[in-house]
Amino acid sequence: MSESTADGHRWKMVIDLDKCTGCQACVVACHAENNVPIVGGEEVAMGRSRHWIRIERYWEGEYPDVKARFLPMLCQQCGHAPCEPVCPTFATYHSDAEGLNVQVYNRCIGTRYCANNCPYSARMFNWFEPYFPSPLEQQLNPDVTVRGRGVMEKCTFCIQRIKRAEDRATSDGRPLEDGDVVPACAQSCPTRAIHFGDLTDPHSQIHELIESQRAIRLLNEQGTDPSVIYLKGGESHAG
Amino acid sequence: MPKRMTLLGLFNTSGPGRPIDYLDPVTGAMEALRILGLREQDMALMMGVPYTSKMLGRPKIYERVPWATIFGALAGLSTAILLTFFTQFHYPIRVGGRPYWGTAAAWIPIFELTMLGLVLGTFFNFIWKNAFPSTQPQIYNPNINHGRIALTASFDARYEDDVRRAMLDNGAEQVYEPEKKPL
Amino acid sequence: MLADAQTKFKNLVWPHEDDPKERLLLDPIPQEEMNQIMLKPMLSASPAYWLVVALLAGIVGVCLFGSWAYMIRWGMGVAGIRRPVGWGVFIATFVFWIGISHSGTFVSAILRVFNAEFRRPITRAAELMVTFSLACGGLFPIIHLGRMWVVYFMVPMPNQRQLWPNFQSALVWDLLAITTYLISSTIYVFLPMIPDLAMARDHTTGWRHALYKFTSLGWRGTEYEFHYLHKALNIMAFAIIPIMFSVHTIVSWDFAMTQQVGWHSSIFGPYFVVGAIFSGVSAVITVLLVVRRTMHLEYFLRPEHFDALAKLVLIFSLAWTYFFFNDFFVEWYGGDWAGHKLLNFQMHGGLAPYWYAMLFFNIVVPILTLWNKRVRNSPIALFLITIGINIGMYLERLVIIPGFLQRNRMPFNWGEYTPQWPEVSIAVGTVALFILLYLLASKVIPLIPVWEVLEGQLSHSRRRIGKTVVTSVAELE
Repeated sequence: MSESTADGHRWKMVIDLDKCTGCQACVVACHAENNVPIVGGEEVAMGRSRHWIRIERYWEGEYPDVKARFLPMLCQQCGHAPCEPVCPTFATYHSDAEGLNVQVYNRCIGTRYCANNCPYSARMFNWFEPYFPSPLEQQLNPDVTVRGRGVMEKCTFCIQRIKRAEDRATSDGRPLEDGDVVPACAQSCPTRAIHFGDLTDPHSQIHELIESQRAIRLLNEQGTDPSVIYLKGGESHAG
Repeated sequence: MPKRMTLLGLFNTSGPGRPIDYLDPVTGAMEALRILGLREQDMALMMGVPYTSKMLGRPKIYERVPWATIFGALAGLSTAILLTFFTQFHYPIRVGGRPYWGTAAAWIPIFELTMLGLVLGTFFNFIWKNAFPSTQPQIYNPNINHGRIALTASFDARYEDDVRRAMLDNGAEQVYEPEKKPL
Repeated sequence: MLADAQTKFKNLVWPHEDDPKERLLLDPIPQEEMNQIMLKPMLSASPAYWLVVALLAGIVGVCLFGSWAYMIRWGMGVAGIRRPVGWGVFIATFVFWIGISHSGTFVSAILRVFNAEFRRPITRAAELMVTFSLACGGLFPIIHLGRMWVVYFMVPMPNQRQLWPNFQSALVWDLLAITTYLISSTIYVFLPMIPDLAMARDHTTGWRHALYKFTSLGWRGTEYEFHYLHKALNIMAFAIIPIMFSVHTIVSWDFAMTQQVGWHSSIFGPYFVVGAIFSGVSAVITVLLVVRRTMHLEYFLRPEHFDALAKLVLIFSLAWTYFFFNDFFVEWYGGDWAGHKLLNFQMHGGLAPYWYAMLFFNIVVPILTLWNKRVRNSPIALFLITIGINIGMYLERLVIIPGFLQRNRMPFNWGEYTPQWPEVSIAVGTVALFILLYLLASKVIPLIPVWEVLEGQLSHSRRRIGKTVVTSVAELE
């Protein structure tokens, strides 16, 4: 279904796990871009850390051959998103124009059913009123809502940047080009591990990356049809 | 038009060694009244225990399937179809990669609202057929909750003595002309 | 040969006649006496009663509404819920109350359809439990919301944005199902109550008289009134059974329709329905034992009724075991790795104490005790066993809802859930609310349907077959 409608975009993100160093620059950039608040040590200990993109760290092997594997995990913007049909108020639905799973903060009543149904645990809930210790409130992004308490939030593929690029392209009188839209995480990644592009754009670099031999999609056997593709080869795979 | 009057006879349903099922007095009285010429609709019974019409020797109250029940069910069904299909027509929102009009998921609201309509229809049928709630003063005798059954007969006033005797001869404890009182 | 026979028959005893008066429907007393037995506890209240009511009202005010207000003021974060456990004690208690609500419908509707005569004195007390447990359970879908002040977004009413709720969402189905069930069971408890309310109207004065006059709608006991009542009850009894099954099936689909490991099981529908009836009928026994003792209704509620209900509990314990084993064994034998991690978590991990306690209370205790007639006839034993069963069923909901959510397919996102004080306080508050509502109702609503008992006594008689006298039941309709 994510390749169905006519003149919309189909945004895809490709994350190269072989280049990811786990530096968490994307995490910080996402916080800055999307007004994601800090929740404090106690809340994180309770498991309520709030990162729209987080670096999951898995240990592989036994001592002394231990390796750390880093997996940047964010909302996979699934084509058959399990979070969408369960929301009682349509606060999350699939946007035909962008091919994204959008979250409408004003409509959310906070049942947390979507979070329960997300197999990637990619959704975050606002447990308390967001708190931005001074002077962090001065660097809030005016393009992004500051969510109140009781609503769900998650990665939006920086839809505000998508919209701004689309507006600029329209006012310039040209179609959207590859590289016009760069989400905050892709922008900040020092190893250029994160790529972003539109599948409906025939000139996009995304096509090559998606067809790579190393491409995998997480938990696709659940039928979620995620829009985030990971490139994973490890040491054994030359690419 | 000859004047009509009503008499109420109170009969004890407990006989010697037989609690609550001694209906011979009241059925005998009704037979005597029928011989006098009273029609079935001139006699009415009030009781605290639901005796069947067969026990009382009365014609069976026949009723077709209550149309209010069916009407309620259909109203529920149409509300459900309206909600599940019209809402997605009015403001279509795509979720989960699913079609806008998914029939499988529509069955649940259809079932629930049809049953709700059916139940409400049955309830309103009951209320309507009994003309409830009745706030008017009614003919009533509270002794029906004390093991008695009340027989009211409505007839031409000239036969008052005959009716009274028919009831008393069959064992009525009291026979009197009832007043309509607020319950 | 004769010596043989003499040995064989030596130890037999002549069967003694069961005293027929032990059975309610063979022990008729004058109607007025029955009315008084039922009215007396309604019309008078001891100081102990008011003390308990005040205590419960205090608990409800502080634990339920006070904690809820605290949570509204400060946010959902004061509860212990966290990623990945989005639902915790609140939803477990919600499912528990909806389960208890299946008690009354089973007793009054299914037993009516099967003409089980032992249902006669217990239908009303059981049906009242439905209304109050739905009232308590129905609070939770509002309590657990992050933004409960906009809960009306779920209601399909025309609005400025021209938005509708999502009828494909199991939570909206919940709303429809529970509303339908609440309305249906209120009507179903009200209809047979009308003759008893009329009787109470005739025996009371003052505000009670006005109340009963209003609610009995002018009932006089005419043939037509009873005819329409029976007709309505027959339709309602048949209609409310599929509604009852659908309600808990839909509640179970809140979980079964997700992708969550352990939840996505096709057996959840019948498993939850059987569990609900199991927990509900046990709760009926608990409540009736208390009612019988405190309201002196020993005439109406005899050992035979508890015996029959306890046999039902045993049957449902076996049925629950069957469904549990289906769910467990299928996952154990052929499940995927995530399912096995979850089973490990239940059997050997953090959930183990709750899991084993659940099995103990739901399987071991009922099956080992309720087959014995002496246990079934002992009020203390039944009280303890049925409270244990409800503890076990509550643990089952805790294991399934927050328990299963702690494990999923991405091990980095596993979590531990610890309930915090607002959750426990609100759950305790709803128990107090249930008991409080029931206590208040018992003073206003006649708890025994006297006219149905009389109808039963009318149909029961004793007749001789051979050397013995047996009970014979007439078919009245």
